Amino acid sequence: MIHTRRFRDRLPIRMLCVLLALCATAVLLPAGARTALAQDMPTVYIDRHSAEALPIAVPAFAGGADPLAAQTGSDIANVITNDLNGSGDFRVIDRNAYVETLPSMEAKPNFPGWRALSARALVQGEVSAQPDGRLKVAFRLWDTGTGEQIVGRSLMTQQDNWRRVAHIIADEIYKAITGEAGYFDSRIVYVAESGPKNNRVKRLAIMDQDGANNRILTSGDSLVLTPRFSPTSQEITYLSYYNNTPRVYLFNIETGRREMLGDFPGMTFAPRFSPDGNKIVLSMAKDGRTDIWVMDLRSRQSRKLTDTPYIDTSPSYSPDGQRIVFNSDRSGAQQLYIMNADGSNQQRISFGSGRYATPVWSPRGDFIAFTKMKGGRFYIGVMRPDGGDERILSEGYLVEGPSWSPNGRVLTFFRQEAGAGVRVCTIDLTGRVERVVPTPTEASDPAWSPILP
Amino acid sequence: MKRAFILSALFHLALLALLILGVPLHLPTRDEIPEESFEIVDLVEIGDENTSLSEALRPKEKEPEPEPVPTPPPPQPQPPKPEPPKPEPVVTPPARPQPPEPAPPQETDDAPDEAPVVQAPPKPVRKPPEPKPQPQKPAQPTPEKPKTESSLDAWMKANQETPDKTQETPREVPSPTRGGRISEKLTATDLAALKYHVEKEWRLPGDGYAYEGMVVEVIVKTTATGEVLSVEALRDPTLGYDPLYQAFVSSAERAVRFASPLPVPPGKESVYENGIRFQFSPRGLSLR
Repeated sequence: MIHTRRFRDRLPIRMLCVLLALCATAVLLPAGARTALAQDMPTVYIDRHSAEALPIAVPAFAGGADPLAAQTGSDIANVITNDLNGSGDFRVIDRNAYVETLPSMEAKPNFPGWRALSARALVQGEVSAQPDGRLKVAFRLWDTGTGEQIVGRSLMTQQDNWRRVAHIIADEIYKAITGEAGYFDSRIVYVAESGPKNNRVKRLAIMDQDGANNRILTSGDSLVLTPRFSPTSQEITYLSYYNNTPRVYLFNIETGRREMLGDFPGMTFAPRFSPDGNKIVLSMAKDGRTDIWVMDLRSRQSRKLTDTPYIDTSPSYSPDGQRIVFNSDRSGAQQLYIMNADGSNQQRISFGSGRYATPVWSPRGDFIAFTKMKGGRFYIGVMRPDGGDERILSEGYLVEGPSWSPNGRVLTFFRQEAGAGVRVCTIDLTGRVERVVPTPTEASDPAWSPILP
Repeated sequence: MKRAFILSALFHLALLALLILGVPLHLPTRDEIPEESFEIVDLVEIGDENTSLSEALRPKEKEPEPEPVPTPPPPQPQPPKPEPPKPEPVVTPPARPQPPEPAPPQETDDAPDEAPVVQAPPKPVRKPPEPKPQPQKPAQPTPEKPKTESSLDAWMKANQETPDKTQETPREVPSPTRGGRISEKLTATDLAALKYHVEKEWRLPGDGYAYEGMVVEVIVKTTATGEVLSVEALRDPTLGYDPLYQAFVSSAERAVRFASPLPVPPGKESVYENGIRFQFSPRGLSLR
């Protein structure tokens, strides 16, 4: 008893001493030993990455006992799969290889099984019909390495709007993994071509970026060329013919209203919006020379930006609106130039062999896409705004007219091989994934819309 | 009682003094410590041969002699087969369904009931050092290719006077290890094998252009067999939780997790258990 009491008496003092020692150790060691430990770690410098896309699993969204919901769940997974595969950054693993079906949002995935399949991420989703007739679509994106949820969301939609919900989910997945905004919930306007070569009908058409929801916008009475989306509104500017003279028009998709732009003395073409949507920059040809003009859509006042005896055309604004890239033959062959938005400080940026045309500044500002012609072949490529780091992404008998996705990571353009029809294609910035966008007719001159509001 | 207290206090003070003063005395002085360096033990072309190196360094192979095994070529990029979307035979379809109420997604409360990805509180982070030249092309020619570990050690010892500062490595502690008299210091070959092993698991969207200039250090601790136990990212405080940087950090963490198990050279298990630092900084280069 006495011994126990003595021990108890000493206990607080002992604990105090031990605490003192620990505190001193904790205070004194970090400065020395801990730093030394950290410094002593071997360091491995990782500066190269795999060229492979990120493997991801997208099982069919669960639909429970409701066959319609189950079908919609499967369709949504298909659209997401198609979107992600087309980006070049993801490789959706074949559904036949999946280790399990996920019957509901509450089912805990078997992460070791998904990891064994090399899936770095897993999409789990569920579709359920609501009493008011709408659909509820919920999804989670899992990190299979940690078993943690990266993002999760639930959306309500009308039954016939499931496809758009799928694009929105694909955008969420893209953003969560890459850190950049997606582009799947967007549209492409293009020229739908039909009829024989000597009597070609070219109409304005619009579709989702994956080719769904195709819609014809103009009647086909007159030829339509080079449509360009406004970055801020549901308006398109394009080239059409008025009394056999090419003129630039403005077209509102929602109202169908069409308006001819400006009263220029010569023919106008190659229009493109400024980033704020308030101006249109275009070319005007007269007396054998072509100059670049800008028109303010609010005041309808226009101003000449270049004034040379050469052909200056295909202007495109930088995303900050401060500069314009264009092509000119002033050096003897078509090359790319940039200038300030007021026309000053014109500088050549392309110096490669061949001719360069249709430059388009990326909405991110980091690249300029172009068409290149060399040795009887056409190429789609990109270069930095200073002309450096030129890379060819695609080539063919005729590939032309690149247009950026709203996030600046994918290009759409049109391709025609000898003897074949003309098709709209997309290609990612790495050049890994090129695909044809399905259209009911032949299609050319695509232009990407901004993300839908 | 009082005496006992005094004795106890004296004892603890002595212990404290020993901790404060005694420990450093036993540390080797700067002069005693050989210059930090890595020794060139093998000229390795980082590419094809690294696979064999990583294989050879696996702990399961008890044979310490690094056999130059014919290597499989590095994995070729396999672009996913484009899956053509289902053609919609709609020529003049009804007006596009107006993005009604659902378009701005209405959040419901039962979907994300789990916390989103763990966002560790900002840690006091050192500014990562500038990327140093990689040990791919050692500047100094190798006198001769060491055949065995004993000759390797001898060669390393002989070359300690001509240190190469291109790679930071742990200080050599000349202590016997489980695998015999093998230095626990990772050699250039070990580091190159680790580098390639992790790089082929690093998936960076869009060829990494968006992440150029970003740096993150990841401290990885493993078991003796190389199984990754913990992954701790030391973020660049100037970028914080920028979504692009967050994605970059996640890609680095994912790379080391999916690189598990890491190749562990025999006798160097404790190095891995203490932790290895991986510094990720993309330069727009990919393994093709």
